[in-house]
Amino acid sequence: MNRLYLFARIAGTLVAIRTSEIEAVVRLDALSPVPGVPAHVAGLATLRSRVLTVLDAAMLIDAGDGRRAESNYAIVCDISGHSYGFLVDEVIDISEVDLDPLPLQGRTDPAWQRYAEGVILKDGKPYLLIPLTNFVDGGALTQAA
Amino acid sequence: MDDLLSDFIAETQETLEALANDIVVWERDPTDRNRLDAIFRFFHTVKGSAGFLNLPRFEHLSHAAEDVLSRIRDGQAVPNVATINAVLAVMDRIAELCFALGSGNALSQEDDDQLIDTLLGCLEEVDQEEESSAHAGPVVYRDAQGRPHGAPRTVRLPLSLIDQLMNGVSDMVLARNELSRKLRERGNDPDLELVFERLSTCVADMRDSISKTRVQRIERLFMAIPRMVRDLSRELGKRIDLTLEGGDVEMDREMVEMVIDPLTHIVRNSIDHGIETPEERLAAGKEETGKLIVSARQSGSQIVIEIEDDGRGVDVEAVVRKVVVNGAMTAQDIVRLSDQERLELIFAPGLSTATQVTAVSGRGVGMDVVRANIERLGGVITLANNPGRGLVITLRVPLTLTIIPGLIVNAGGQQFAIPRSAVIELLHDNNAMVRISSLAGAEVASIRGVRYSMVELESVIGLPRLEQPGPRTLLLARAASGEPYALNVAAVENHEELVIRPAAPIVMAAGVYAGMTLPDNGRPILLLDAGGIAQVANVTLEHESLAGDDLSESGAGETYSALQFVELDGKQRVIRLSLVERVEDIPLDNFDEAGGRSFVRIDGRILPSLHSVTNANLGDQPYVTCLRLRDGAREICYPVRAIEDIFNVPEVLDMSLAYGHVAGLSLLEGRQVEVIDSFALFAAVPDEPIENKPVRCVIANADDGWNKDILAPLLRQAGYEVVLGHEDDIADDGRTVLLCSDEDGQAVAEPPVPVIRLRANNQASGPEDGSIYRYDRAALIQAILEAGQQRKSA
Repeated sequence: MNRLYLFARIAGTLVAIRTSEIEAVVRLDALSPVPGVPAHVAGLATLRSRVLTVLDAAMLIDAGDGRRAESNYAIVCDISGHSYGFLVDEVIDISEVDLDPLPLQGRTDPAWQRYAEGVILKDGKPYLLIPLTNFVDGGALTQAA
Repeated sequence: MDDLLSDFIAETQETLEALANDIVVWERDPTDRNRLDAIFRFFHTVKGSAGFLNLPRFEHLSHAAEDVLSRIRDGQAVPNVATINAVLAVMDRIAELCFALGSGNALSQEDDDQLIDTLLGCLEEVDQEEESSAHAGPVVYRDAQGRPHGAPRTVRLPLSLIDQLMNGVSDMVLARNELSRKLRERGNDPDLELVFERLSTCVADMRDSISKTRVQRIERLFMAIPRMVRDLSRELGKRIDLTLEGGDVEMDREMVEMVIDPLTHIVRNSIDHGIETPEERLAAGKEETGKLIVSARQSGSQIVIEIEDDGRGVDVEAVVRKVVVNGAMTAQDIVRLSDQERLELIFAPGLSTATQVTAVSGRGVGMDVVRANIERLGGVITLANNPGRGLVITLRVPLTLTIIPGLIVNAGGQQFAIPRSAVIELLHDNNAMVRISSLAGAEVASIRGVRYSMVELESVIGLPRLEQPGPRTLLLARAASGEPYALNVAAVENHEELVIRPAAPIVMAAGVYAGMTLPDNGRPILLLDAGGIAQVANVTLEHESLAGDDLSESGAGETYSALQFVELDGKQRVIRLSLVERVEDIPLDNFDEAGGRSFVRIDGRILPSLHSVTNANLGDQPYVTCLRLRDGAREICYPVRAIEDIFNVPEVLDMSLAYGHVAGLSLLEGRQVEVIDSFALFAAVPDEPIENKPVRCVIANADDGWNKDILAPLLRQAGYEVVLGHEDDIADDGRTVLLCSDEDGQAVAEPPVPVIRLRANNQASGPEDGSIYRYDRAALIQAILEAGQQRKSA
């Protein structure tokens, strides 16, 4: 089991992402907007010869209040053959956590609930464990709903 | 089969090359079991494949070599120089045979046996002499030169590696472009530029070569067909002679994948619906065996695949019926379609012409899916139907999926790409040929009088429409189905070869994008999907929707040229221009009336005139403007007051309102004009030779008031010559009809001419009463006509 996580802040919430999912973290300079698609699609960006579809998870979480990612750092990953970049507020750390993910407890914000898989404790602080694919698939779900 | 064979040849040649080295090593050390095993395996493999592929010579040779080697392996024999030479000779022969097979040449048979004899002979010698062979033999250096040339040498590479290469080259292109920009910023440095030029050329060449690695012979596409044809024809009891042509044409590997399904479907259809059973074919006077030809060729940047059969073709009427029954179109819509459009109704969704669902096709997945698939590839599908004789379906697909010619358009300050294949025409919106009107939010662009739904790109994808100094541009775009529509964009900026990549599902979900592309400047651009835009914009691309609304533009789909003129009574009307042979001024004196009809003398001939012309119509003018109309055989003269103009008039009337020879109303530039019903026009002029004198009606009792004041004028009005006379006047001149009332009818006992009896009483007096009620105008005229005809035929 890969215990290496990337810790970041998305929409003001601390999250942990398995590094096995992540290809790179890059700073994106220019985004080409994509009109006519859901608002959480921030645009397209070029990473060398690849084109990233950049998603702003903050828009997905806080749909409606117009909150946007606070940085132009994006986590790059490949989901079913397409390259995505997920904008984050801040990348905090990459480190190993030996504990298994804990179940969600308490009343998780429903906006997060559909994306979170569990909780990772690092230095006593909880981070929501987010499989990035959920942002893509879940996004599709909301789209259909 | 061919594919297997070429694989076999390629593999054998590759192994032979690798083995040349092994043989040498083995010869030095005959105890090296690994080498021996490798060589043995080679012959064993060749033997197996040759047996499978039915190549007896390979089998024979390799069998002998395998035999000898296995004995060596078993320790029954020790290899000597002669053995190794013989083995090498066999390998050479196999290489030669491979070459011959690959290039289609033949080698003589005897040599094989000789070689085998030598080989087996060596072994016997070995048995007897037990000679050591620990020295290198004379034939050890087998370089590439010794290898027969012919079939190209190949290596197998994983696709992922090729994709990686492709991406690498794309990166290189981007880096080059950036470098180029930087160089420009720095200013002139001829030396540097020269080097940069060289680099650019190299990169471009590289890009070309790498793209070539993606191509594949179209043979792969054809591989499944023979088997399918064989199976299907057996299942359906049909006999089919299949010809495959052009298997060596190359196209993009991905493209091959995408075309397989549509092609399979079409071939299936041809066998199932197209080609008849042997009995039907004999009955139709054709050979029992149907022909199916699938051919491919390259035409420019397109691959053309034709599927041709000599079956029954498409029953267009059945298709039309089906469409009407489905409710997809009404009978009126159908009437307006051209033959080709009717044929293309087989692409209508959910249509299957098979009267019953067969096991083979007709499961509801129809030609619409085939067309959609082909068009998704940027391809085109066309039909050439020859009812009863066959059908040719042509698929045109671009060579490659990934690089397509495209236009870069600008909308709302952002760039988009659109495949050039989707664009029929580009026009500025201030072009004189373009008129844009809007009604209740629906925008319509009339281009040369043809009306198209107009879609503003900005409004579809939700961008602001920016003010701009120049005119906007209309792209006449082709949607996957239905009519073209006008896509209104801010500007068309450029046209480029675009490398297309798939877009993420969430982007595709918008429905207006077909993918994305990375142009040389490194800023990603979205590729627009012309069909998707029309769908999302919800524009109707059907004929009827355009004909139905009453925008005051000319043209709704099909139009024809029409001549607008002013009738003698001042009404504006239009007539189909193609009917008008010429327009001529004819002296008023040439008009005449006879037998209730008008005639005009033109060029020494007498033509029927549609109506009479009198001074009252014309004022002082001594001439009458006449349209000379011709329906192909007959000619009539249509006197009018003035000619106005030529317009494009929609085939479909804005209001159908038939009376006389007017068919209805059309709107032309906001005015309604009457459209002449050309059919009624010609039908109104009786199809009689003008030389034929009209029937003369003799009214028996001229003294009778009714006869004189009512009957005679009626007859005159109907165009008959009327003689108010006496029985004595009756002479059988072949065109006379006698009319008499029942009271005075008995006056002539045996009239030499037909007699029509009229009665004052509404009711016939009995069944044998042949008389006609005198106010029954229709019956009376009919009787006179019949009588006249009797006279003529007599």
